[in-house]
Amino acid sequence: MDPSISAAITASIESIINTALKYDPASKQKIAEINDVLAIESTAPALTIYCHGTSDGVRIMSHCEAPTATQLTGTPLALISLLKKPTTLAGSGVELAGSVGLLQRWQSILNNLDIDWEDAISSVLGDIAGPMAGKIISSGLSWSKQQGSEQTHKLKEYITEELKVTPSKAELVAFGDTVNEIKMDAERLQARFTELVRKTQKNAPTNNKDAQE
Amino acid sequence: MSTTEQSNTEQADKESSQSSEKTHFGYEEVRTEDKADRVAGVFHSVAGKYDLMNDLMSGGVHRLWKRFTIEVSGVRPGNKVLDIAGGTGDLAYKFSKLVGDTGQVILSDINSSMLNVGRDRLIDRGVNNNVQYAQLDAQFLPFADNTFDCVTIAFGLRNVTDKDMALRSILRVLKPGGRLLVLEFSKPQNSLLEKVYDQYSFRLLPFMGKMITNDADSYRYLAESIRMHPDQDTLKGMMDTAGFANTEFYNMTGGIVALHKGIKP
Ligand SMILES: C[S@@+](CC[C@H](N)C(=O)[O-])C[C@H]1O[C@@H](n2cnc3c(N)ncnc32)[C@H](O)[C@@H]1O
Repeated sequence: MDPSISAAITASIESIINTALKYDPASKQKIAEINDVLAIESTAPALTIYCHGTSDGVRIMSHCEAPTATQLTGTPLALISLLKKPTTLAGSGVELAGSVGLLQRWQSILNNLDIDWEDAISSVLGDIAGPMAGKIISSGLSWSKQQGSEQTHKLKEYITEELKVTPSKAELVAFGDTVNEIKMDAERLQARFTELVRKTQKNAPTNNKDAQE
Repeated sequence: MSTTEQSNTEQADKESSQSSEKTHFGYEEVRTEDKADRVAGVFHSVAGKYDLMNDLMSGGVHRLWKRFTIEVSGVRPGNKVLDIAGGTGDLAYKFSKLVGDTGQVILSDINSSMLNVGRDRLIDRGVNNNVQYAQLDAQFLPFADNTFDCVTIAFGLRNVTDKDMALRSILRVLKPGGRLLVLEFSKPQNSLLEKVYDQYSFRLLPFMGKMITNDADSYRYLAESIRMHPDQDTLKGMMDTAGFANTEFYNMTGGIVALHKGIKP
């Protein structure tokens, strides 16, 4: 994944959690005490994010130079449901390497935080990967228990494919919009400018041909 | 003798007395000793609106490029960091948070206007105790050997007249094991992206520069200097030649920008 995409994803998740922490100084304090790095590896889309605490809240990275204490591996859906509720690993579909204590610390903090994960994830992925992917993931989150494995499989495939192709497309679209806006602004400005020049010339007593008309 | 003739003669005198070596200023060829002045002109002219232009030019993506740079720096509490060509201090601000009270960050730039904007901005953002400011040229770093854990230069190397000299100078002031990070425009890895990007930087960039800073020439220079900058492999080779070890690079946004990393052995 292009580092500018993974950086956009980690920046968004970080800001969602830290916004929630503003209203929860007790959790913020608990997070500040977490120095060890937790790595969360999503299998599809392939992306590993790293988190640890700082005095400003959580820090989430797409690349980490420090050693990791615990690594979780699984699908985004499995990872999110494991992290947001203090459930056990068994049957969660998530593999763990390293210290389980670090996972439990995060679980108890995240469980207490008032974050609407479905909404948060769809807005993060919606911004980056287009609204479709975000919607599908968030509906997947609340439905995944009732749905058969075929549905889950389709969903996974969709997310992988979608996420593989959309980022650069989304970037290009956003970029195109900016360009268009600027173009339109420029045209408006040009029109106003022409109008202004016309008026000035009308008012000024010149022998300009246009002004005499 | 008319004034123009006079200045022409002066110019000729100057040329014969000084080295007539040439270097690039964007696509123009200028005498090596003049490049620094021309570059300074560009940045004096854009300093005040630099941040705004940065956001507009890159659609805000420069923040993500810088975010990734900080991650790869691996900077920890207590580290000493030098940010060269640091301009308005984006990297220095983040480093100052990471190194904490026991660390030190030096925000430096050759250009006093850029450095002043940077200093004001950092002070506004409440940074004071662990950041120092220095006006300096990347080619002649005024520090003792083996001083820094990390040196960064973001969107600055392409403006430096003698890049090899700057790389050697950086290597000298790094501690053994310390790392250099060069964030710089590079070669897009996809031909369609390259075309879109060409249109953007050669047409839109100078136009936006004109609208916002009333200075199309400076932004035309930026676009040209991006294209004259060494591509990924060339820059990596230059870092190897300067004496860096484990050199590698990460392409970002399809190679529009690359982050090069090298370690002092
Ligand atoms: C495009 S700005 C980059 C600012 C900042 N690092 C950023 O990423 O936003 C380039 C800076 O390089 C500085 N510069 C140019 N030549 C230099 C040199 N030889 N040594 C140090 N800085 C230089 C300019 O003054 C300018 O502030």
